[in-house]
Amino acid sequence: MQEKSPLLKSCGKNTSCAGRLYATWRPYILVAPLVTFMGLTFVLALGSAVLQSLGFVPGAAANVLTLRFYREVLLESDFLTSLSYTIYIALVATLLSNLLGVMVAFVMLSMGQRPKWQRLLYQVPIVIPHLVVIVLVFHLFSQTGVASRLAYWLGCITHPNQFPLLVFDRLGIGIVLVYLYKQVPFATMIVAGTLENISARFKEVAYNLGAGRLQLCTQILLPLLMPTILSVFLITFAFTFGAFEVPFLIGTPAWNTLPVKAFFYYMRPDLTYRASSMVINVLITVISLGFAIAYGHILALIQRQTEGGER
Amino acid sequence: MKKPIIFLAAVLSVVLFTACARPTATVAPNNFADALRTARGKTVTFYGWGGSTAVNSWFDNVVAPALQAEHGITLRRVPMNIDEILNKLTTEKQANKLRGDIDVIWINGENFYTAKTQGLLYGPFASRVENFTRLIDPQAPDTNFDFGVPIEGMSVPLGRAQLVFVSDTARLPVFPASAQALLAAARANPGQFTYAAPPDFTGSAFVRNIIYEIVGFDAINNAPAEKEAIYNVIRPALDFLNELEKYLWEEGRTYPADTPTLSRMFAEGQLLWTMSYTPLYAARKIANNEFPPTAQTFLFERGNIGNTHYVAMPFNAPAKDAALVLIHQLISVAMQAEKLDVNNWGDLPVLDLARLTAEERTRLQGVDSGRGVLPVDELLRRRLPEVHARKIAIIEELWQEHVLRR
Amino acid sequence: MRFPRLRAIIFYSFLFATSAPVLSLVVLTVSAAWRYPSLLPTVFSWRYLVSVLAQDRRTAEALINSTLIAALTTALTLLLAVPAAKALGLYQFRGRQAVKLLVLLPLMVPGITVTMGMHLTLIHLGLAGSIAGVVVVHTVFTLPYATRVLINVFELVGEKYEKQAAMLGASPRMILTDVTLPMIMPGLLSAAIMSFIVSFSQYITTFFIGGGRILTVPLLLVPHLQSGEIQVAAVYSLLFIMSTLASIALMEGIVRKFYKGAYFLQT
Repeated sequence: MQEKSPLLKSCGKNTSCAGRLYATWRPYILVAPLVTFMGLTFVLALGSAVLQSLGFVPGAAANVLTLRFYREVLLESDFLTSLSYTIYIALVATLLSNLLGVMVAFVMLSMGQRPKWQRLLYQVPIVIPHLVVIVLVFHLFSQTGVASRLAYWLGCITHPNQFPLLVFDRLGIGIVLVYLYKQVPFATMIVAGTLENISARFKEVAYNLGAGRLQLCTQILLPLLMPTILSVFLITFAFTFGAFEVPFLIGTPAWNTLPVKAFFYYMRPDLTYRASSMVINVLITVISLGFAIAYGHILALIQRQTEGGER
Repeated sequence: MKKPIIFLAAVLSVVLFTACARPTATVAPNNFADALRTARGKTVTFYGWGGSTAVNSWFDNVVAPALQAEHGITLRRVPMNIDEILNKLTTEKQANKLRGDIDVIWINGENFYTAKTQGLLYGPFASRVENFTRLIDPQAPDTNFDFGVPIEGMSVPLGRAQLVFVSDTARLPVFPASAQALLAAARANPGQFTYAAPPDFTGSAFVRNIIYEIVGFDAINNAPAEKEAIYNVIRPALDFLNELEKYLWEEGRTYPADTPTLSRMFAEGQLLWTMSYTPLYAARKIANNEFPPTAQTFLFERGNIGNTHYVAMPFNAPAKDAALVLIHQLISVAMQAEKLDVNNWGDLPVLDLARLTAEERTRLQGVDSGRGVLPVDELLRRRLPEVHARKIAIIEELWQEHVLRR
Repeated sequence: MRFPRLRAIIFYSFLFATSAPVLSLVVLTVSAAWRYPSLLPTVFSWRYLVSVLAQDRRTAEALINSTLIAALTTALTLLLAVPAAKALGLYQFRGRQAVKLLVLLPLMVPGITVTMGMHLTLIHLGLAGSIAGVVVVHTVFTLPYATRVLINVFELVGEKYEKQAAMLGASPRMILTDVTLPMIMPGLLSAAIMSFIVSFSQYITTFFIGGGRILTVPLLLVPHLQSGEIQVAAVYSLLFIMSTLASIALMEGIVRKFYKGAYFLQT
């Protein structure tokens, strides 16, 4: 399947020139529509965002390439608050959902094959969009929600205002709850899939070699699982870091996550704020990509280690 | 490495800056009679905020049939937020698109200021609208200034909004009718008062109303539109809000994000009051059983902020004649009376009662405004003006810095 | 087995946490009044269901738009992703890693960045405020998922069956319909379902690119969520879940009907 022949290599006797030419170019022809599409949409969009962040905003008064807007945004008093709030929410949501997901996946593995309806039931949140989950969290955990009513009947509180504020709160508990509902089943599903494959292959071997249960878990399953856990971590982190809807709809007005901040700048009638909005967009993108690159390095490191261990 | 970047920049600028075909601008009629004649049979397109079913229903079920029956013009309403509309117009202006999609827009305040200074509007045109010259008081402040911005015939008033407070008389027998009374009421009922965080439109108006109460309208009105100067003027008001904060919901650590949330909390008994920018709001909520029948609207003793909302025409309106007729229709006595009806919208009229015939005056005053609200003349009597549009965002920023994130 | 009871508790409370909220949603849709602190609705009524589903014309419009956009997005996604995934899964070529990175990148870049970046371009192309424009933007976000799944499928299936069929004299068209498609069908189906769900759930992209003119179910839901009309929001949520599940079932049904033998790859 290695077809790396240079284009102008002399044609063989059995294959026609046209055929060989086609074989060389086939992958490029096959990916051409996708690459063209992504180039005209995604790449162009990123380029446009970068240009606009540099002050090149069509329709605005002055169109001079400048780093002014980067300086302004970075020096703003609440930029650091927004940045740390965004990272905080993404980290808490991702760590908790991965931890719980891995735990449930191990529990499921140890309980043996679950019936199909149970496997379908726990995957329900994956098809439910975030907007609907917001409705659920609001209904269950607002100060007049189901949880508050239960607390009232149990005699813990006598007025809805005594129920702790879990939605629109400063710690973003409501936001994290929304992400947990979506991401714990997602992490469980992915990890459980890999876990089944791994354990089928290694359980026998490990037992034969006399490894105990704890050793099986920590020495064999966990290291082999690490790449999967890491990629789930990366996907969920990048998503929560750049997500707009959830913090926009049930976040505190006291401070905004970076995407929400970018949105508010974008919606200002004065077009010069477009540049500030795009500065934030570019910064979020750079941070996300930074995490992705770090992930690549960590993954390579782990793979090298596990391969070394197997030898 | 550098070449692809230059190429990308070139492609980008071509895509970003090229415009499509450019039809020429439409000619506007010189007077209203001409407009009536040429507009018949045309379609007029209205763009405006579509977030209220009551407002939408007035346009779709009252104005549209009347416009069709009386002038043979079809009304097409496209719901869109004003910032997106201005964004669309700005882009079209940049692309030199002289024949746009929008004939009439709904606008006021900061957005009007932006649109006017950036040349997005057509006009002056107000003097060519028959009902404007006949029914509206040319001396009224809101005929001439929109949030302190000179109008100069570039827009026509459509309706008047006013900040009102609503409380449940069964649970709060005495209205807190001044800033100090509000502080006392909050102190007596900790956790049961709050307001929506600016830049929420209504929450922002409440903060300005408190500024009027504490430092007076003239002080803030005379201050230059600069952050430092405004901070010095409104500092006592911000101090007051911080004092009030201790007794607010969640002790002011956070605020409801918007006024609908505030109203929901009032409806569910979490709060003792709510507020609205639609003066007859309480009547509709009582009729829907959302608010208790004992809910009652009130104002501060020294009055509440009111502002006027307007209609204007974009620079590239394709049917300027039909736009003039639509605007004429919007401010007719019949439409304004229907608009005042709380079942349609409950928005205050802009007409000058002194200029109406006896019959027209009865029509307008005969509208039933429902339970729990104040009479129109009392609202208009205790109506305070807005400060200049440019100061609004500055005040909101100062509130966020010194009250919310203190 | 140690702590069997603890494990059962963990697992079943997990199941409860994922499913019980959906049930409470159903209760919410038929509650006309639910005064604090009552645990169950004080008045049951079909009012919200009727007013949203039967009386509001925009619901039907939004549902049709949502479905149409999701279907078109799915079609465009597969059209672009299948050939590319075949190349990426089966052949080594210069630039392969770069293409792979390009198509997976939208998973790493915030949606709001891409949407705002494309907004202006789409306005100039006259695609803003049209179904076509919305489909184009949704496709950017569905492509990574679809391509990823399909690359795995092509890597698994390989090229040998296609080559055998060609040697046996099958025409390229026959190879496509009788060999390639049935073999990749399970992957194609999950790619399609994922694209459909991702497109169906989009809010902020449709909000910007549709410019308020293209009404979809999320666009109807959000204002009610913001104004705290939780029952109306619940009705839209239920509509949302039901139509997603129905579409998934429909896609599975169609595939089952036409490719009965397509599941031999699945264990």
